[in-house]
Amino acid sequence: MVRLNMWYYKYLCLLLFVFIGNVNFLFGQGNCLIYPEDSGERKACELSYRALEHRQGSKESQLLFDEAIKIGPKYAWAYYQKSVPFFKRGLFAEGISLINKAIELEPWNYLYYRAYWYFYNRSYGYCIKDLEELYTVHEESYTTTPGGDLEMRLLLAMAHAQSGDVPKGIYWMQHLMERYEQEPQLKGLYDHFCLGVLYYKNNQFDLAEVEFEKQLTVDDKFADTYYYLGLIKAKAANNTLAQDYFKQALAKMNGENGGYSRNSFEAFNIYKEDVEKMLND
Amino acid sequence: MTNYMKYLYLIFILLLFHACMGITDTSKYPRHVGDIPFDSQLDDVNFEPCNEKKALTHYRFGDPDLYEGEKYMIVHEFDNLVLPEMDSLQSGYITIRFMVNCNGQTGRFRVEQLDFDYKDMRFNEAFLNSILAKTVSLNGWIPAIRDNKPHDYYKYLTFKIIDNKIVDILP
Repeated sequence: MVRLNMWYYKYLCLLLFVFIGNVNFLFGQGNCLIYPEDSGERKACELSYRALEHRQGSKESQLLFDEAIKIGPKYAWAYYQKSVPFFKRGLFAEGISLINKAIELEPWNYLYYRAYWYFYNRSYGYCIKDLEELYTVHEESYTTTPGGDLEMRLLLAMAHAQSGDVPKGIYWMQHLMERYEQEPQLKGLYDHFCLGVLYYKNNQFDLAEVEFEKQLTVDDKFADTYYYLGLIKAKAANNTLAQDYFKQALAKMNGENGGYSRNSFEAFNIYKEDVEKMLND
Repeated sequence: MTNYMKYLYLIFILLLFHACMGITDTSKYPRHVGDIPFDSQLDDVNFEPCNEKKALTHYRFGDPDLYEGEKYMIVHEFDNLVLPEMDSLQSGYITIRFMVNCNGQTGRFRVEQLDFDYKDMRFNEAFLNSILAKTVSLNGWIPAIRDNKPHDYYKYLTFKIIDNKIVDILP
């Protein structure tokens, strides 16, 4: 019996090793095996994964992406990956030219990335065009910024607001909130904040306050929420409460009790100087 | 066995040759996308990077702005800039890339000009030079620290221009 158990464990270990080996093999090559053997896409895919072994944007990686694109010109991921360091380093013409090629091949996979950089560059019209195509034509149900922290509808909503159509921004945020009804675990850290800002910009202060209060239940360390609550109280001529919120905002911006601010909301970003100005008014 | 070794040796040499042939282009790209090598025609010889080979890009450090007073102060500096009057209206992006050395000094400025469709364009020279000169004069750059050591880094500022006015500064 002991011998049988030993044999069983050995067999189990062997199976486990084979399984791990296969998983490593499959995932080590990403999804390259879905392409036919000897196809340009398979080779381009493998070269692209080799490129990722080098530092992003390094000469070695860029040359491997070039090779991948040459062998498999229909392999979109290589164009996308090659574009990333150009965008990050302010070389937008090169970045856009590369991501355009990825989008020609697989718009449903890469529109979000171009839209992200359009938003970042305040090209709000182009950002709106890409994201509305993504969510309507390609029926994307949930996709985030490259860092994974904001659902792209936040950017779409802010882009509309920046283009002067705040109600359309609110529409897209409500569209996103409906999506969360099915899967509330997907809700991000700043969704209520974003909707609150849009209501505020649309002079719907009561609705804005509701969203900011919800935001505090999600994350009470984010300074900007207190700033906007302060603005709402100031509008309501409740200066004592307004000043209290501004003080809390400043404390959070100074990092007290884990407080923080962040600059992801472009024109809606709040700086310490903005808060100090309200405190001095 | 000797023949076998010879074949192995031959295969090794062929593999080595193939590996070398695989990546032959050494001039098409710099060490890293966005690196700005010294150009004696353009660059101030007095600007000295501390360790250029280890220069990083700005976003690799915790502080996104790396400027005294953060982006607010950068914007403030340009609020006071008086741009030259021009006969025609121009719009687009001016991106100025540069290096900040480990002492917070700047050099190796490069300019990219794009219209709102991300195609090359040319701004009026006096207008462009005014923005460039102001960027060169910024002196609040903070040396970036990584692993307790100051590093050189690459930084860029993009100016969004509408009708000859700076309406936004990125990032």
